[in-house]
Amino acid sequence: MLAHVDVNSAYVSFERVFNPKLEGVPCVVLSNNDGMVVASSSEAKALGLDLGKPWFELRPRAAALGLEALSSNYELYGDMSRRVMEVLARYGPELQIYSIDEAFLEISPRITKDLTALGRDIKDALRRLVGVPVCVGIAPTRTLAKLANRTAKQVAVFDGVCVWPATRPEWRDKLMGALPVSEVWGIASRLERRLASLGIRTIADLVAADPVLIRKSFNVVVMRTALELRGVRCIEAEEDRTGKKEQLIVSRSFSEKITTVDGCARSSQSTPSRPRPAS
Amino acid sequence: MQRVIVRRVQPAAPLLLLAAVDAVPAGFPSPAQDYYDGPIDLTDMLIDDQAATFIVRAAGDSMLGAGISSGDEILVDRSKTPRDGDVVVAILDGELTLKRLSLTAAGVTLHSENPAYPDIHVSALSDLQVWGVATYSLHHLRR
Repeated sequence: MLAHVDVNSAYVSFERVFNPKLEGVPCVVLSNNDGMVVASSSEAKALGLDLGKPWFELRPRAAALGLEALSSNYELYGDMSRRVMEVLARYGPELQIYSIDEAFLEISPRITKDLTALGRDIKDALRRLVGVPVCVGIAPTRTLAKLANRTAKQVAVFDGVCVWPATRPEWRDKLMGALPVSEVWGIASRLERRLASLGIRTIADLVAADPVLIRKSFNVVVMRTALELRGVRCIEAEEDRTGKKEQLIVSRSFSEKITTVDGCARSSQSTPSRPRPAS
Repeated sequence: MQRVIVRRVQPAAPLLLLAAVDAVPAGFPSPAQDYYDGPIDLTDMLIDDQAATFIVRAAGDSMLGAGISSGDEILVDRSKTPRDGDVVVAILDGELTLKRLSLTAAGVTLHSENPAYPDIHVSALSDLQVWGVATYSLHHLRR
């Protein structure tokens, strides 16, 4: 069994540990030089403020929305991340740190404890020791553990901990029949369109599809994902997906909306380029 | 109100204090050498749980009686269960504040170690958010 653990709205949650006033308040964390939103709290997401919103557009509305904006502090996030991982490592010798705010933990078969109790233990320990809220998904494969975590986060009755095999089979079938295939770890939107052309639209469709046909029509990676959804473990820690960046963005934005050629020319002139390293 | 600024423990390199060692003897080996026990690791000595321990810097004079001056660094361990008499970082009105915790039959009190500041009474411990328990104060003797 594997547990997938991730910190809810990680950057905002890290900031909130040291500034309890921000609890329950819509918060966004801005990119370097306060260009755009790189992270938002659930309250901010509910206002439609998500990744990529330019700060100059938000700033005039911030006070009216009761929005708190924070400059990013990656040193802090790195330190808090290390603490989270250190606590997780206490629950087993095999921890795969997947990103700054998520990890897969191998649950030894020797652990006879009820898995829901174990998940709750992990969640409570991180809240108490480090001060951050997390969700835990436990399942036999990485892909299902991610799905269980998503469920833990979005379905209130789970209260942040979902043990996939402990849920009722009919309920799981219903959920997978309702969720689009893009909710699966590793299925990007472009792939979603191609899968749709084969009539695969929901997670249940992908589970039911013939794995060999999937491999022929796509590739072995998609086939493995389909098998993992059936509970067959075929994605291991060594297959480091983190190295394969989906996107890297280096961007510059103007500090306000520019509508004239003249204004654009003036702004570009005064925008310094990236400083050259000292030689 | 005693406010605190939270700093983090730098975990990378342990703080090392070299225990006194004799100069390299030219003739006769030091009889103390056999007793040398290695350097003192302050991280090991002062911190039980590295993941849960934070350094906060005290600001203000409300804890002078506890030997905490403005600017002193306080080690705060979130893994410890608060007990009567502990100095704690509590959350009051959304701010982190250092106070002496008093747990008696009469109730829960946050006490400043300075008569200029009034006690704060809370009906139950569950109504109080304790952020962490202070374990050591790094009081600056030389400013």
